[in-house]
Amino acid sequence: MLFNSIDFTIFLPTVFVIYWLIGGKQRRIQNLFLLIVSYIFYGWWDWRFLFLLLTSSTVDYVVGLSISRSRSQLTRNLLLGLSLVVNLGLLGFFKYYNFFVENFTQAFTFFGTQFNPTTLNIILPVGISFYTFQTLSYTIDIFRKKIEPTKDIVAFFAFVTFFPQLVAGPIERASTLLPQFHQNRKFVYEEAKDGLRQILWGAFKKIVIADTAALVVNDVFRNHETYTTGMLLLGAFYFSFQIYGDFSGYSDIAIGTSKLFGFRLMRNFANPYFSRDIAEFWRRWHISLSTWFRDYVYIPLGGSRSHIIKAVRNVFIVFVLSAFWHGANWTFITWGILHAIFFIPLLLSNANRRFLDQPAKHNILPSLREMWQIISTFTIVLFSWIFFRAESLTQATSYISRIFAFERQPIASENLRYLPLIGILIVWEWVCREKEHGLDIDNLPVVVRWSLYFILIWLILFYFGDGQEFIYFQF
Amino acid sequence: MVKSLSISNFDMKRFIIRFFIFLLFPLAFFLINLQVNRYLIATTIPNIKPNNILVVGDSHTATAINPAQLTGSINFSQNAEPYIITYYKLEHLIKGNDIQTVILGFSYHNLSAFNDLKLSKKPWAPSQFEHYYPFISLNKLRGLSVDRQLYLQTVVQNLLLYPKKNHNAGYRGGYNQRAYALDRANFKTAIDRHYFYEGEQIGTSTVSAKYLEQAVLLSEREGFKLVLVNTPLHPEYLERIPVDNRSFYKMIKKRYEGRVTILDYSDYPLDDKLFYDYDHLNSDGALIFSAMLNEDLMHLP
Repeated sequence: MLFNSIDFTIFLPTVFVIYWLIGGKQRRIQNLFLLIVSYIFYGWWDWRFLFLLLTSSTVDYVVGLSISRSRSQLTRNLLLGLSLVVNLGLLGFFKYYNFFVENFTQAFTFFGTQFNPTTLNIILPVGISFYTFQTLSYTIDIFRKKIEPTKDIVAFFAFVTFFPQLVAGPIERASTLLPQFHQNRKFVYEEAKDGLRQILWGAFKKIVIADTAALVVNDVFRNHETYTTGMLLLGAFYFSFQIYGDFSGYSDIAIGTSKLFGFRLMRNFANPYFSRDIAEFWRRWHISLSTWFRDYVYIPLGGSRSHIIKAVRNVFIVFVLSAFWHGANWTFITWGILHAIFFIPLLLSNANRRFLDQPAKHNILPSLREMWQIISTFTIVLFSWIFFRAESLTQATSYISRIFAFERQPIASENLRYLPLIGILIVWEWVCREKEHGLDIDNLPVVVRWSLYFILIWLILFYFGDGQEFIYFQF
Repeated sequence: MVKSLSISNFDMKRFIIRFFIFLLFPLAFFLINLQVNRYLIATTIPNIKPNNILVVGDSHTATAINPAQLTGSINFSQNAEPYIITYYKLEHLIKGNDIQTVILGFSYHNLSAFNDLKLSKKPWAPSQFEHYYPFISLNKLRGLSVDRQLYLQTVVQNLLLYPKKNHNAGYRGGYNQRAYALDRANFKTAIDRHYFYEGEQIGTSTVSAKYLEQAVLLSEREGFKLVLVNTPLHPEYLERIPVDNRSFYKMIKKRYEGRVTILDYSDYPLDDKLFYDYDHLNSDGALIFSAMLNEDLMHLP
């Protein structure tokens, strides 16, 4: 079920009403209800993959309890290993089987050996990359004795399948989200109001920004050999905002929806395009994933505290794994490596934690220096997005080489018509950069607020079109 | 145990009340636009005067019938228009127009079941709703496979957001001049498009037959002459029409012989150079065919 569909506009208010009719004090019944509707939500796409969800949830529930009860370190290790094997095994099979088979085949062929394995027509279950990481965080945190396992199976299953964030994050930690399933929820007017506003803001970014940009992006990438420098740069620029609008829009809808039910999810995007360097970018982009890799891969490997070579190795591993998480294609891996290459100099010069505050803090506009930092960081990110979007390394390198051919041709005005919308987004998010989201505007008079909501609703209805699926559904 | 099923929480009541109060404003705005647009649709029905012959149908009649060659005619054919739409279009155009003759395209593909997909599948559905929203509704399309979300999206975007001046631009259609392109065309493409779907033969359409009947009844009710015209088809296309479709067409044709005028030019010999592709004429072909049709119409009783 897509957030931007009529089905969801009927589903959400229905679930909301029934949920609060059950009442905040009926926590267990509410959790059961959330579990049922989450399965309906997920099964709406394809009911067969509910069994995967069930398997992942069951294994980790049992493993969590078993690890906690076990006194033997060997047993604990084996149990954690079981969780890792099941979750990563499912993820690996559905997502990476064909990739490995095809690449092994090419490697064998390169060395002159004929090898004809079978590739499978595998459907990638929506959200598998997200919920497997979420359940893994549970078992790993229990193993590390950071949290205690829950005996409440309904609460745990509801935590795994919680529909607002099930298919595209944020990837929540058991330590922050699971306790909320153990507490009575109280309807708070301000939270619910803010939730609705955040949903509206997310829908605006997805439908008005991302889906319109996609119209140009799809054409430019498909026909990049016929376009010249200006149009190719425009295509990359539009894609930067397509992926931002799409993914951060989804996160906003997920977080806003959760607020309607009395839950607090983590922030997933913090104005990443205002970053002053790549390190800051990764503190602002897909925060739930980058912190997951930091806590469960980078730090256990030694982080930056080990020898300089190991620190560099750890950075590469994290960026490559993070890239690989996005998809089974060398383009993603190249994208990750590029980011690692830009990150490492900052790490080596101890400058990766330079920018921990907001740009232009307490000022209206950034300084010239900050402007330069923001633009240059955005430029690096923009070029790396070309690899992310391209279907192959060949297409990506061809795209970039055509940019630097510096051939000139006027850009048709119809391709520029979405720029004002992106301009408005940039300005508005700059103004609200210290807020949680773009409609965190309680300081404005009610007439102004309601007028803004109405304008956004109008724009959403105007641009609502050939609904592009959320990009991150494919991960 | 679930206790009382009522929302007594003050915060919740406040939330629901304010939410609905807020919704009143956009709803009022949309309702006003809806009424204005409905008024505009009703008062901007295209006037065909001084003509009294109306040509309707799909791309076959759009490309084959040049109104300049057909005395007193105007061509409102629109690409991919199925009979169900044509019927409602005629109903709509009848209001405020003195139509004496309607020339309706009547070919094998018009009765193919691929027409039944036009309101639910891409690539047809988006343009169908976009063209014909002024006079179709879900109620009128009951019983058919319809992409409801797409229909509602079209209605919202065209009727609710702002007063729109040119509601009739989409359904008007018109004569479509095409150049010769037979050397680049593929007869299989046209056959596949009209009679196959996802590799399987799709069969015939009882819905299309039903709305053809409705058009005939409308002509009898409103007193205009209905002329069914099968425009010229290239032999390479004609000989590949599936047997089922051919038989169904013949059966329907026989049903209306004597009741309406049927002019079948599908196997009329024309030079290749007069075709755009295997089932459409180009502008040169249209000139010749339209003049011939005009002559034949003048000799009708």
